[in-house]
Amino acid sequence: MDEIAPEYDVVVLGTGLTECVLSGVLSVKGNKVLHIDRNDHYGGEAASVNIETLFKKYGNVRPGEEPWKKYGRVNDWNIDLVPKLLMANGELTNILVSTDVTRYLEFKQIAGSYVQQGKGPKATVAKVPSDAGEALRSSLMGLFEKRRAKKFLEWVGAFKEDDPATHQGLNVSSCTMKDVYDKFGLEDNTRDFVGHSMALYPSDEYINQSGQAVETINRIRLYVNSMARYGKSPYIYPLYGLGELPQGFARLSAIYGGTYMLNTDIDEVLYDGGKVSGIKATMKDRDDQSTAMKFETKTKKIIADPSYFPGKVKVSGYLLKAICILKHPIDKTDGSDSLQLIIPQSQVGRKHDIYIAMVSAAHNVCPKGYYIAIVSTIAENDANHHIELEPGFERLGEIEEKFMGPAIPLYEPLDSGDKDNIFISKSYDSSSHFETTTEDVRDMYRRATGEELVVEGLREDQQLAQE
Amino acid sequence: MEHYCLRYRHTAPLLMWLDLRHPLRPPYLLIFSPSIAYVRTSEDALEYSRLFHRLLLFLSALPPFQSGRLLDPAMASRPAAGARPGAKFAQFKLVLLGESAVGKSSLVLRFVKDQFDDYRESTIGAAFLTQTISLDESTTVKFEIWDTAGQERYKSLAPMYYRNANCAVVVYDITQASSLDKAKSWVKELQRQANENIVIALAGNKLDLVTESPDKRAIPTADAEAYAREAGLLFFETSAKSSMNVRELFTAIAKKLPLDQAGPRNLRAAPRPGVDLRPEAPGTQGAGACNC
Repeated sequence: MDEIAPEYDVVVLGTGLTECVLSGVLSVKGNKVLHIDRNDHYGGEAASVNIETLFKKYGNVRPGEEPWKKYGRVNDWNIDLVPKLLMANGELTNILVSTDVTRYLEFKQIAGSYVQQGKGPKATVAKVPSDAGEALRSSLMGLFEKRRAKKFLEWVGAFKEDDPATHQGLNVSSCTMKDVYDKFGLEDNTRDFVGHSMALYPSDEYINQSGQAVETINRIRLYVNSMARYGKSPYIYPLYGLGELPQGFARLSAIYGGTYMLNTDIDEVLYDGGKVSGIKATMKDRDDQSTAMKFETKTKKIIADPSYFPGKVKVSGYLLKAICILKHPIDKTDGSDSLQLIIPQSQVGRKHDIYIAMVSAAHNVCPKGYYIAIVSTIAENDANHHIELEPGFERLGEIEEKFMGPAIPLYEPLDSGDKDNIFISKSYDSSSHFETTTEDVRDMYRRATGEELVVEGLREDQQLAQE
Repeated sequence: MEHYCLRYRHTAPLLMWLDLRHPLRPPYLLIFSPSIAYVRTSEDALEYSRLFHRLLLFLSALPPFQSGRLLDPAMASRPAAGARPGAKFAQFKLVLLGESAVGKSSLVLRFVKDQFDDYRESTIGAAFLTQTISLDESTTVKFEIWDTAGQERYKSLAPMYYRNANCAVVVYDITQASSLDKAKSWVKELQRQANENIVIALAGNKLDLVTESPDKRAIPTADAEAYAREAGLLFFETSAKSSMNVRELFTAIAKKLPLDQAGPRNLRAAPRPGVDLRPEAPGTQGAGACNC
């Protein structure tokens, strides 16, 4: 067994996506990185697991039974634990391309983006219009409303923040999104799908916040541009599941000298004058616990997911999530092999939207004939979480298997890390994409290095190193 | 020679247009599916851009056109299947396994660049190399070689590493008795994690040391050979330093790969099923523009 180096520039704890992106970037930039996970697999909370692991994780197993056996080969399943998709034009795509991690991964489109109107048996499901032209053909709106929506989307398309001539007389820096909607005379239903299924706000809080208009416009543009990139939906998805993403960035880090140790417990974090100075850890042996290797090493900084420092984080909310296995595509979605479906809160009398993200054999995450749908929302009550997700289950129809644990606490760090040099990431939030995750990556990079993260150009460095 | 791939809802108008202009000369057009066309333009870069521009203009005038969104220059650099009548081209993923310091990277370096470095440090920075072998006049095999990037050191190789690997070279050091046992456990790991029909070669490296002083040998050839035969592996004793048997090793793998029944995953000359993420590809929208 090789010796562990006596000192590292950065020790990274946890192999979730946020940690792996940071580890990769820091290694490319020449830092000596030691990357540790207590689990024996990559991905942490952002892993994709096989169906046996899923059954065991959620305890859907009676003693002596092996219910996963009827679902074919266990390893044909790669089930995401985090219900998210990539925006085709989003920041994660940019980072993937800039770091050349795309060469380890293959992506496919998500086939459709849908929104529900109404509730119960009368509910309808419609495709989210992707541009002004589609708005005109959409079944979501009446004839006159379509024209208003077209006008609004054209305005969003032409909008430039620093060119007042494109603002149509609105004071965009201070006005609210309500002011904007009022100006274009949009109906409530239109506001609903624009705000929730295009700007992807999980609640209606944004509408009355002054100064939120520009952010909303940028969100709609991200959606529309992502949509325009490949055509069918704004989302793309890696073959074999989201768990491939952290693995890809871990490989990047390893190529640049990052040291990887899975299955390794942190026994103690060492401090010197309030600042972190090192770690004591034990690498376990999968087969033979007696050959565990204890070691100690120095470090100037630690980057970690919230689970490694429970005393340094707080709960910011609770996410509800149910992973459902289906044997049919979702009704009223043209038989799409993959999709996002949003049930806006107002349609079902809630404060937060319900999201459904579905993928299938087309993405090599399950055997042919199966579909994996994750229903999620932000918890609004302390109990009866099943009822909160019920409108989502209604959409799915017959469910073969449902995996649903207690509400999942979302953590965020108490401090920026400037006092102890321990920089902690946020949990993966309830949003349907990775934009907030990449924001967290940028924020952590800034906190940990004092510099802005520039991923553009990293790729050139990498090619140099490979030649 | 440039190769481009276009994704289009209907290929019929494309075909017509090309037939009218240049029935036999470039751009060639290969149809892989009802919605994907493969365009090969002439060597002349100027002519290429002119033709391609015209093609795009023509396409964008058609109502169902999706603005030529799938353009993959990376794929374009690969020779196209069918470029020569009867020519076979297949690409395979090869992974390297074995204990640290048995010479995994050195073997690849000798194979790909015909170099050897006595004081090579543990793998950094060279984790993705390609090399092409011509088996005969009409058959070319391209290896996409994945190095462990050191992730095997603490048993932390990701499943991604094994994913879709068509072949593997498991390396041991013939002067280190324990390294063959490690190699055996890697073979087991491959059989557990990789494709069922993966081609595995066992390579006993550092043959040069034994040629110099025979008493350094710790693993008799016959022992390793017997194990390889029993486990159904190809077997070579190699030297990355003297290049002994290195080429032979990779050629033997290439010959054993199922060229004829290679599925779409292996015959990468056909477009990948996925989407290309590069934002610069012509026909896609810049980040700033909006398509409302």
